Formats: sequence, C-alpha cells, structure tokens
Amino acid sequence: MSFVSWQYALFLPGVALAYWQLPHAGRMLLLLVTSYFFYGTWDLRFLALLSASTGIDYYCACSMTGVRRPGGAVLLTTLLPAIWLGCCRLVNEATSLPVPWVSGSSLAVAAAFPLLFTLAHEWIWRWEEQARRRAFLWLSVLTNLLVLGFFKYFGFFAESLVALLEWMGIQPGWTLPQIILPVAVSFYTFQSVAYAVQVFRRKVEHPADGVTFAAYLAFFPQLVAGPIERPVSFMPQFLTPMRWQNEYLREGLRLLLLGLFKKAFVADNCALVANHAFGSQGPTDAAWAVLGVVAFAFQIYGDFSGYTDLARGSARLLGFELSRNFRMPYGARDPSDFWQRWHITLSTWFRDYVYIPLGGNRAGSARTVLNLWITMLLAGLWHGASWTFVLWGAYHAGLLTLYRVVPPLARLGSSSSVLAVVVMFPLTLIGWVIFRCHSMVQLGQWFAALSVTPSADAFAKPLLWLVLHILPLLLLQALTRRDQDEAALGHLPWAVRGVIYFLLFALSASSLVAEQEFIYFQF
Amino acid sequence: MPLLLTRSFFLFLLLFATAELLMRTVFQHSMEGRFDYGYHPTAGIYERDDGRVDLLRTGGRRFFPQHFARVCPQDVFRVMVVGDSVARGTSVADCYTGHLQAQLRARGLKAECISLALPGFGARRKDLLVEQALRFQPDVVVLHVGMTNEFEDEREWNRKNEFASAHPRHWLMHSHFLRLLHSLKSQKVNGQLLPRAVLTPQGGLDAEAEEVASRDPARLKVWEQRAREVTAKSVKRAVDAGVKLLIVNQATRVGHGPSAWQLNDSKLAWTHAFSAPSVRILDMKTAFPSETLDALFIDSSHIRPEGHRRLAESILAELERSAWLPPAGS
Repeated sequence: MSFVSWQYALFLPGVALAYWQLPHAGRMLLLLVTSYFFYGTWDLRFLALLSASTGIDYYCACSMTGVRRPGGAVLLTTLLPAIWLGCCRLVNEATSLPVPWVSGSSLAVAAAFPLLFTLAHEWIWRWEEQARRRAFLWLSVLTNLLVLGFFKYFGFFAESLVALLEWMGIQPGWTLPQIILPVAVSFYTFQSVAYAVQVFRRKVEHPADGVTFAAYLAFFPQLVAGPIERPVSFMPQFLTPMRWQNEYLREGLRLLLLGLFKKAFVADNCALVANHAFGSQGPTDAAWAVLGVVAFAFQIYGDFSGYTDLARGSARLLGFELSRNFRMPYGARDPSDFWQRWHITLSTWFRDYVYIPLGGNRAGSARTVLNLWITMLLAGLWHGASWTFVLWGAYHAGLLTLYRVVPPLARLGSSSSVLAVVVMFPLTLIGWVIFRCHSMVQLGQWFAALSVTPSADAFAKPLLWLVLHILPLLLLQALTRRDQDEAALGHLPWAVRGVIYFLLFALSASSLVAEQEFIYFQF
Repeated sequence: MPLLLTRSFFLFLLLFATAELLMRTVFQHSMEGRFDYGYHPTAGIYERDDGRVDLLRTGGRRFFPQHFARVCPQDVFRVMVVGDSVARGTSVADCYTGHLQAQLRARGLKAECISLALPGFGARRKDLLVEQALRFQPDVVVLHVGMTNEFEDEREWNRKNEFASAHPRHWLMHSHFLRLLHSLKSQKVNGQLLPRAVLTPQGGLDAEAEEVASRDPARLKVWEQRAREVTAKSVKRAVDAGVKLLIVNQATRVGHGPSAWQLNDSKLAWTHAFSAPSVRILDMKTAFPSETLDALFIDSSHIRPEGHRRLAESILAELERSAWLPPAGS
C-alpha cells in the first residue's frame, strides 16, 4: 500500500479515528495490527521476517535489561513466524486466495530458528552479567545484519564471485537461488541495531510488554522507508500515553499535503524525463544527458523527501513526531554539508554506529580519511547490492576526502558564498548519474552522450517543461529557507499559507496518475 | 487552545470551492465528456441560445471547431461526415469534407459540409455521432466505416465504465476543476513540451495491448460482429429519420513496397448488405488507382490531402449517380 494511493487515503483516517478512541494499551495493539496489515499488503510472507526480527530484538533487549523471560515463552513467541509461513503455504495450496507460496526450505529455516534462538537464549543466561549483556547485544546485532546480508547481498556477492571465477577460467556451475528482497528490510534492521545498542548503553527504557515494542518496530508511517528513528527520542513516544491536540491534525494535514506535492507533482513528473534519459536507449546527446540527471536529482529528492513528509504527517495524526530527513540538500556548500542535509537519519546512523566507532576523526588525518571511505562505501552498499552503488559511495568518499585535503576546496566549502553551492550542485549531479545507472555500461553511455552536440530546438521545450516542474518546489523552499524544517510554513501569514495550500493541492491533483512506487522502497 | 482547523485551511477550501463553481458554470462546455471517453452523447456539440451550434474541442471530443445553424436553412444542402482519423484529416479544409464542400459550391450549390470525424472512433462511438448528426437535418450523412478502431472503442468503453464506478480512486477527478487541471497538464503542458518518446510508456503499453488483441482471432470476430451490428443500428437510425446515408468503406494499403501495394477492404464486405434506395455504399478503393497509392497514402490507412480531394470527387460522383443532389443554383 503506497502512501499515494486511494487505499492509504482511506486507511490512514480510519486508523487515526480508531486510535484516538482507545486507551493507551489498545492504541499500541491497534498500531501493531494495522502496521502488520500495512506491511503485509506488499508480501504476506515477509511478516514472518519482521516478526522474527522483532522477537529476537525484544528478548535480547529484555535480557540486556536483566529481565529473564521463561524459555517456553521465548520458544512459543519465536515460533510464530514459522506458524505464519505454514498458514501461508496451506492457504496457497488449498484456496485460490492471492497468498504467495512458501518453499519448504523457508519453512525449515523458520522452524529451526526458534529452537536455536531459545537454546542460545537459555545458554547465554548462564553467563555472568557483563558478558551476558554483551552477548545479547551481539546476538541481536548479528542476527539483524545476517537477515539484511542474506536477503539483500547474498545474490550480489554470489554472482560477483561466479563472475570472478568465470573470468579466471573456472566454471563453478552453481545454481544461485533467486532471493526476493523484502520491502523495508534495510530500514527496520538499522533501527533494530540502533535499538539494541542504545539498550545496551542503558540510554533507552525497554518496554515490558511485547506489543508496545512490536508496534514501535513496525510503526507503519516510518516502517517502509524511514526516517530511521533513534530509540532515545522515539521509544518514549510509545511509552507515554498521549492526549489529542488540535495541532496534530493541522501539522499532519500540512505535511501530508507537502508530501503529496513533492511526490505527485515533482517526483513523478521528473521521472518521465529521467526514465527516458536513463532508459534502454540512454541519452541521445549532451542535452538529454544533463536534462536526465537534473530531472533525476529532483525526482529522487521529491520522491524521498515527499515520502518523509507523508510519513511525518501520518505519524503526526497519531500524535507522534518523526525526525526530519532533509534540509534543502541542493543548497549544500560541500559534501559534508550535503550529508547533513540529505537523508539525515541515515547519515547520522552511519556517523554514530560506523564512523565514530571506527575512530572518527580522532586518530589523525590518514585514519580519518580511511574511516570516511569505509563509512561511505558501506553507505553506498546500503542503498543497493550493485557495484554502481559501491562506486557511488566511493565517489562521495572521494569528494569528502578532496574537500578535506585540498585547501582551496576546504576554504570554498567552509565559506558561505554562492559559488560553493554552484560548485557543489554539479558534483552532486555526477553522483546521481552513478546512482541512477544500472550498470557500468550504462554509465559509460551517459558520459559518451556528453560529447554529442545537441540540437537547440529539441532541447528548449523539455527544458521549459522541467523548469515548470521544479520551480514551484524551489519557490516553496525559498519561503522556508530560514527554517530548519523545510516543511515549515507556519511563519507565513495565514492568507499566504491558504493560497499555497490551494496551489500545492491543485498542482498535485493535476499530476495524479497511476500509482507510482517510491524509489527508496527498493532499498 | 489552537483551532482544529486554521483560517488558512478555510481559505484553501474557499478557493477550491470558488474554482469548482467557476468550472461548473463558465467552463462547463469545454469540460464536457472528459471522462466519458467519447461516449458522452452531446459532448463538444454546443447549442447556443441564438440558434447556432458550435462544434468544440472538449475534454471528451476534440472536434475541429466549426459552427452551423441548428435548423438547417431550406436552401442549404447539408452533408455531415461521421468518421475516424482517416476521415478527419489534418484540417476541415484539407479533408474530404472540406473538398466536398468546395466541389459542391463550385457546382453552384449552397452546400454546407460538416466534419464530425474524431480520431480513434470505432463503430460504437460513431453511432453516437450519427444520432447527433441526425438532429440537425442533414440531407446526407456520410459514414466512414473501418475496422481499425474497435480496440480503442472497447478500451475507452471500459475506461468510461471504470471511471463511472464508485471506486475511490476516481473520487478526486469528479471535481470539474481538477479534471480541467489534469487535462491541461496532460494535453497542453506534457503534450506540447515533451517529445512523444518521453510520453510513450503508457502509449507503448496501449499499442502493445492492441497488437496482442489484433492477433487474437476470437477478439477479431467479436469486434467484427459488433461493428456489423452497430453499423446496422446507425443505418436504421438514418433510414428511420428519412436521411440519406452514404457509407464509405475504408481501404487499407497492404503489401510490401510501393510496387506491391494494393488496397484491401475485404473485412468490410458486409456493409454491402445495407444497400438500399436511401443507403449507398462507396468503396474507398475505387477512388484510388493502384499506381498512385504512394502519393495518396501517408501510411497504411491515412490519406494525404490529394487523396482526400480524390475521395471527395468520388463521393460527389456517387451523390450524383444516386440523384441525391439538389438542382444546381437551388
């Protein structure tokens, strides 16, 4: 169920209305059920994965806080994913309902997992406290990373290995399994890892009841593509009973409208040009190459920041406040500034859980640069299992390094001149070319197209079209440029806001076509 | 305690309501039939209070703008042409409707030829136009019959019904204001500023679906049966109204290369069964000698202005043969 769909337009108000009628415990149960329903609309099978991940994190967190749950309860709870998969298979075989098929090997893994986890749980509880806490932390972190690694990267690394062996003249003759990437796995595993670390550091209160924890991990507004929330600020919102405030409705509707505008008007329109330029034929000349990447830059920005606004607006209607994820990224003055404006919750996650643990910038220049490269390569790989994403990460690592070691660039980046933005924007665009291309061959085609002189006639109209679809967003941002939150309009006079809401709605409705998937759902 | 909804929100509602009201009053006609996909009975046909009828480019039907008197003057010989993109041509003056009018006037007749031809229209949607044409006292209705648009007729019928359903996905577009914005965006902004290749994903899917459907003998049989039945209904309408009907059978250019090109209308042989004193059949291929096909056809179906001129000559000859023309000077 996409945020920009009629289903969601009915689902969200329905959930919000029911939510505010219930006591706190009922709200948590409602959030859990509706979140699992929301996630299940993509693929029912992966509810098993989400619930398995939830089970592990819950019991590990309980153990880290010194609460021992009975082995029988652990076994029964962690058996739920296997029971669910078994039901899916039965329904698939016995009825014509659109329930996907579950393989025997998946069932076997789902059945073995509770036994192994319960055994590990009981065994670790025999250890002394410090070692036990650390063991449960690693059990939680590694299980999450294993899930992410298997579903997202197994195919990529296996195919790369096969390609390498074939290049060396060895024919391995392996038949690689086709693994479907579960929606949102990159997001909720990172949130789970952050949770486990914060519980271990005693920075967050772990809820006693599993329902609240499961609702926290599966919270539907931010489950599929973030923002990747920090437990320190997010969990307390689940633990504290909330009272309705009119602000929730006003802010929620504003964010939903902004998100709709960014997605339907900016992103989905820019996608037309970007998909053409990066389609199977590739760009025909330099004009289409540049148009294509500018269109993609605003497509991905409108898509993801639009998604974030929709997520924040949805959460706000339920009384929750999600983190800001974007702050006018194309106004960045240097690469470091860009990453403080683009997908902020991911960059701060990598900063806190990879870069700083590696030593950050505390161990000399060479080590800092190495840490930057490791962090950015992993960030690139997080976006997708493909060498182009690794290259994208390397490109940004290279930019960060250059701006750090080349004095004129460092001076430019730290200045507040417009020139810094003018230099940084094309550099960002080159990054998007790498990001958008599916293969190195396509990347080569794009750069080759730059040498083909365009015809001015063919270029002028699409350029005007693109400007018409980007300009409203830039004007909107100009109005909110002084605010930390790019979705803030509150400081404007009410009449101006009324006109803006009307224009945003009209522009969005003019472009509402068939439901378009959000780009970041694939990550 | 802040208000549940703010003044700015109410201003938004007010602006939206005003825009909607404007659309439903000032721009009512230009939006008519936008989501009827050609199946709205009167879309694009605007009868003014002063007795004039305007043919408009509306959301649902994109007529070439023309106007005529609602009540046909007694001394005017009125011909109304109902057809698809082949009959439509590139303008009224350059299609066979315009040429026919010029040729009739050259003979001293006070003639008025009106094009009701619309691209992609198959038998069902043409029948709706025949029904409208008969309301304006034509002396002759020319019905251009072909078999190339049945897929589109069916697709648009399904779209119309889908939109008319109570499905929530269409709720927003029931606003006339949003409909106008949507069509302005897709036709004026996208259609005029972006190359066709950029906009083809949806068009490509449609073309692919049509290609697949046109290879399915069962579908073809259904289409042919339906075209036959609906055309029979159009013929009956004209006969019942006492209006003469000339059926022009579309010919398709087949064969590989100019030297091998031929015209084929074998799929339309059934129209000859409608022949009657007030119903005549003209096979388009009789108007075109085979050696001139390269100069007369743009592609396998559409004809150049010279082709339209020649077809108009053939229609004129057929009208003359059938003694349907009034005496010159009348």
